[in-house]
Amino acid sequence: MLKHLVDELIPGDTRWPAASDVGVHGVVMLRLFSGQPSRILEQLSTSLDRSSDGLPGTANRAAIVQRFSDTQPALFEQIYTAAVLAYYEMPAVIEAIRASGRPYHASSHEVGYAMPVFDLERDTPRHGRGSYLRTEEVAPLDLSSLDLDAVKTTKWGLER
Amino acid sequence: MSRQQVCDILIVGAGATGSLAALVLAQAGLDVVCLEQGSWVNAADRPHRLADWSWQRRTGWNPDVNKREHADDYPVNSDSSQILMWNAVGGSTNVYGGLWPRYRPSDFRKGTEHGLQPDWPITYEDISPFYELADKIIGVSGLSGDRAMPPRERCPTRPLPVSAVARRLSAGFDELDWHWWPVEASVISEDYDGRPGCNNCGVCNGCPRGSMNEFATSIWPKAIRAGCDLRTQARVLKIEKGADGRATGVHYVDRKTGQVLFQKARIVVVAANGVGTPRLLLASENLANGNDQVGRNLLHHTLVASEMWVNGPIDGHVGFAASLISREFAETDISRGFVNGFNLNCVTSTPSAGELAAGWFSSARAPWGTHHHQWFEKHFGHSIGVFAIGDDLPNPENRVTLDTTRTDSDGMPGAKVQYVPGENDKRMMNYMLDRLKDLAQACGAVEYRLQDYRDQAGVYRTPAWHMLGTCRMGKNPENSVVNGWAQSWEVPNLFIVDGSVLTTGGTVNPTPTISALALRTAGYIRDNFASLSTA
Repeated sequence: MLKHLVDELIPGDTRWPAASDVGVHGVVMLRLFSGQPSRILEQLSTSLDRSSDGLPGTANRAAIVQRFSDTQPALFEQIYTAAVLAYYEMPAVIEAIRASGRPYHASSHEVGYAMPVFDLERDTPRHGRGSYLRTEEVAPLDLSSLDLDAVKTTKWGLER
Repeated sequence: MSRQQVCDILIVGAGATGSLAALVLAQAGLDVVCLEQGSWVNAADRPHRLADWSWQRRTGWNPDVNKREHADDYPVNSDSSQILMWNAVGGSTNVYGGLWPRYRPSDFRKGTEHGLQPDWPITYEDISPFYELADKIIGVSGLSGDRAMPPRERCPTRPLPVSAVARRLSAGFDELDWHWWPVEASVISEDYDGRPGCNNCGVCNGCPRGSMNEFATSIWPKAIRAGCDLRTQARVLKIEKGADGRATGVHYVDRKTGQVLFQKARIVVVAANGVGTPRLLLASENLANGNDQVGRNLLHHTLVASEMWVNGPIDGHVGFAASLISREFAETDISRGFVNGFNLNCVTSTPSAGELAAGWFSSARAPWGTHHHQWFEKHFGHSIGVFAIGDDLPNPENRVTLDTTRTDSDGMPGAKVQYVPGENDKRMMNYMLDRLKDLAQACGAVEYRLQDYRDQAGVYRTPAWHMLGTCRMGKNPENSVVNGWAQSWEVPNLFIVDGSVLTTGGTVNPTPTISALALRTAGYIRDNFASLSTA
């Protein structure tokens, strides 16, 4: 069942392996369900398809997964995140990234990436912008226009 | 309970500032003991070299104290902020990002400027020599000559390489005619002090190879060689006060044996961070809190962010995690509708393909299903992150208190954190989001997402690396906890050297300022030990 699910989440194509081809379902199982496999798998099974032992190999797979996502968002989120992180750490997937033209190492901390050192002549900014107040230049400001006590911001952030 | 010999200096906490204080004081020949509730973090235990390091960063190595299960932690019950910290030798520098910008002179003069924050009892000029000293100890990389900052000495190591992300951003800043400068970092760009220069791996949350300054590997070995007695797995339960009002030492649990011990000390220095320090003082029968200021005025910074994607590969997963800093908006400009300023901290991108696809710090992520790979190919190698970080105003009700409902494994009450942004903060964050939008457009972003860190219920849940102000430094004992030397007003042989003493948050990552203050305070204790250690 999990094998079918991860392939629906991250299917393969000509350039990218399917999630199950690189063993993502096994990693997800280990990371999320090793402590309590039966209960969570039962919950997953119920969410996906009560009458099936896995996702049916039919055209309505996507609809089933969408329903799972809608009805069990927290569990879906947990599985999808784990599947994605597992997928992109697999050697075959890292090879696919490199084949796309991007430099990428499985363990970049070991080998690093080559970059030209900072050249003081070439790389020093020339824009000449920037200023600051010296200690003795800091002077009292007139805040009367702000009305911080009277005018309240009711909509802020992305809700504006 | 056994009694041990009196030491000259007892330091609580072996993080960044505890290590610097230990180094200065032990090198002066004083008898220094440091108690750390956590352990050493071995390089081999770190996730950086493991295939699953992206997963580890979200689980066992998650900097959010409430998203990992670690025996060295204590409960932190927050009604809003995500509390990020690491309890171990080296403290949170085991998992930090290593940005190293300084405060500016006006940050110390907000009382004079607008009166909605107090002035610091010290000036930029007082701390400036200690910024230089910290930079030399650490090997900071960067470039002098920034017109948006006071003059500084040449950085010990040259700036880190200019990434394609930095070039793209700098073109955007130039388009807007906004200031930008290469970011200063506690990451050495070339070999320094026995440590290897950065290899541009991009995995910058701590650095087991030692290129990023982690105080556990760069400072502690020197402090120990100088004679400091660092005891790990030693959790301080209470600072004891004598009848004369002076600290006499601390009760602590040796977590290896379970034994409760008392360590006598002539001077106690607390370095337990902006949550841990007020927690300890409050748990020590309200020590140094006659004015009810301990734990109040918690500052996190105003923080919003953007994630943008541009045409053409820029490989943001390559190189140091940060690229540029813009101080265009650092000073107060009343015409913007609020006091104080902010900086634009430009990072690069996540070093992890998986993190990008799973969702980095905005709502964007690769969809599941047939379009997954198409999304990834369009976004990976094309993403840039920018944080806007501003100076939030203090509010006495934003505070750290004791959580009497939960205790740590040794029975000590946990911490409770309350934080709500105020009117000025909200106005600033709205303005910041608009400027992030301007920047994305100037950089030619084909797509961008803004992040306001509010959850579905509207609660501001900032990722709070910065826990400041909860034992703030001040000019008088009525509205502060320590004086200009970080010395308790009430307990004269008690000093605090972590972020809790910052009077204002400034517009930058605080570790450089906290480190400079710790060096200044340690020097003061060293130079005045005879008088400070006696009644």
